[in-house]
Amino acid sequence: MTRRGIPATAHAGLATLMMLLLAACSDAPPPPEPAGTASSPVPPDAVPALPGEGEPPPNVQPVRLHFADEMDRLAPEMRDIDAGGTLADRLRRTVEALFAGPSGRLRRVIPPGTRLRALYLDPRGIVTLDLDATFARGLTEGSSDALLAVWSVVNTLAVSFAEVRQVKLLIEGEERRDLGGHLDLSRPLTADMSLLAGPGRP
Amino acid sequence: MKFPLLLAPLVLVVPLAVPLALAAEPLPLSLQVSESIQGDTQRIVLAFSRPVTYEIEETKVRYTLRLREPLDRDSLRDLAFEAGPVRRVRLDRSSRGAEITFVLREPEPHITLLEQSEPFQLDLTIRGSAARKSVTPGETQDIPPGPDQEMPPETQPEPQEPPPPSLPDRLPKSSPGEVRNIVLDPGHGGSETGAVGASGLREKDLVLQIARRLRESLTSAGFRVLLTRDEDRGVDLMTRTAIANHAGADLFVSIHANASGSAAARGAETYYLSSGAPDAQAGSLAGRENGPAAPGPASHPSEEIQLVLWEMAQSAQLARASRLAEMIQSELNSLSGLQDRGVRQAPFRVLVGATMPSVLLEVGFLSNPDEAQSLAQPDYQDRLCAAVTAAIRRFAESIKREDKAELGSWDPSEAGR
Repeated sequence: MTRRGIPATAHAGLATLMMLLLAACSDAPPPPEPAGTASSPVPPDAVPALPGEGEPPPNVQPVRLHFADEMDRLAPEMRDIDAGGTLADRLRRTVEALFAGPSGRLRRVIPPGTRLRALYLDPRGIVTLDLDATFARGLTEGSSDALLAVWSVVNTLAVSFAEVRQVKLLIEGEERRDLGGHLDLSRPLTADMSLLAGPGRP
Repeated sequence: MKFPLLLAPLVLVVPLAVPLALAAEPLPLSLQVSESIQGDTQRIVLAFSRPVTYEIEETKVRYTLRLREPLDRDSLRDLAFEAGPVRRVRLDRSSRGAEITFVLREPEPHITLLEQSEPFQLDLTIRGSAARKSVTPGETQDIPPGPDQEMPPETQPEPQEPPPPSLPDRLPKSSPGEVRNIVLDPGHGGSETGAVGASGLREKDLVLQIARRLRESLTSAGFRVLLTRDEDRGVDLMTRTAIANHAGADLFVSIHANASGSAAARGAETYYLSSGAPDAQAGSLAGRENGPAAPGPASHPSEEIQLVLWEMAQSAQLARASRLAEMIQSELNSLSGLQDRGVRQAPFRVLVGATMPSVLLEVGFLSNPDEAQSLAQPDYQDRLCAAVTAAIRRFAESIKREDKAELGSWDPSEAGR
């Protein structure tokens, strides 16, 4: 029932992200380019490979999309996504499937119409998602709404992809420190399994 | 002072790991800048990890604080503001240490600097020309003085001319190991209504009612209590923790009511800050910890130990917040009809930057018609407040016991030296 918190082994901040981005501009390592936008001219192979990448992929990959149950707990819905392309491609497909909403009895927690503007990969397993303003606008004042929306994304990616350790969310390219009037999103977030219904939880 | 007191028990716990000479060396200096704006008045709080000496240099378009020692690398981040008399805050290395430069949008705004200890903060209020015209005495008072907020003369802040807006009160200093000063923070207020229940009950009104009742209940239990707002007005999130820091709070409790898209969702929850969140002091450490191993100040062995101690102090704070959250939640669970949604961690903005154990209480769901009805009832609010008061008493007693057990015959005045 009580959670002591997943050990925060890596809370690398924006500074680190910026360092990486800066390094990318001036130096040899491949840049963590936006990899998810339709308009992006970047070829898929420009995305740095993460550990685990490179094996011949099967045709589909099962992912766990997280939505809410009637008691406002997160609950997973299994979905198969096309396993082709790079890790960034698969992450983008997963996020888009999540944003499209549940197909079963669960409740959607991402405001309808939310769009993924860009997706960035960091070689240490931090995925940065840049969402459009619909995401922030569509949340109500209850902190439960904002928490569920944020962690539906974080848990979905962190649970479905072994390569993902943390997820950082940007809104319209910017850090938000008061999402839904409550949440500070200036740091990468770790999956929170205490938000799920489960044994020992009410 | 808060920080050495916090460190003291830790030093005792790990006496073998800490060379005696360490105590004389300063910790790395980190800085967290927060800004809030109201009309044409900007308030910028520079929260340092420890006291520092500085000089001020003013020109028509710049206001610079020169520090005689370097800031840690992670503090060197610039900030830009879209509105207000300060356009930018620039943090630079200089030959002598570091410089904090306020780049002004309009020449010669009125700047008031207030130095606070415990924790060491420089609180700057910058009034633009529009604000100077409109400020009237009386409307700047944040917390009306009440019977529980009397300040003994020795804790009076230095008289400032003119008084900066939103300057909060201070509570008398608690003795070491004593948890007596509580700052309660009713969420939202003013134009920020917060959640609204089916019956029309508004979060901002409900949490103010509960906070006032809780003040009453805590005061009769011997605590000293301050509210971040005691009326229907908006208070910036950063200002709420700044009020608690400034007041010398031993605990900070933010009070909220929840809402969900699902009418069935119900129950109270107690939150504390997730460890990955940008805590006032933990932030710079996290950056270092995960950054590439680089030659620099952090690679010095004794400084590594200091960083470890620093982190331990931070996690001790978080551990205490977690314990308080557990105690509050367990009392709430024993209230009949209140369902346990448990203790959770989340990066609540309002908890970031508090230098004392801080928790956020979601008293229940306004979107649940039954729960909204209960929450509106005075006797239910009384029971809720009695439960929270009982938890805070238990917490205060546990800290007292712990402090006694750890200190033994050791002299507390040696702490942090």
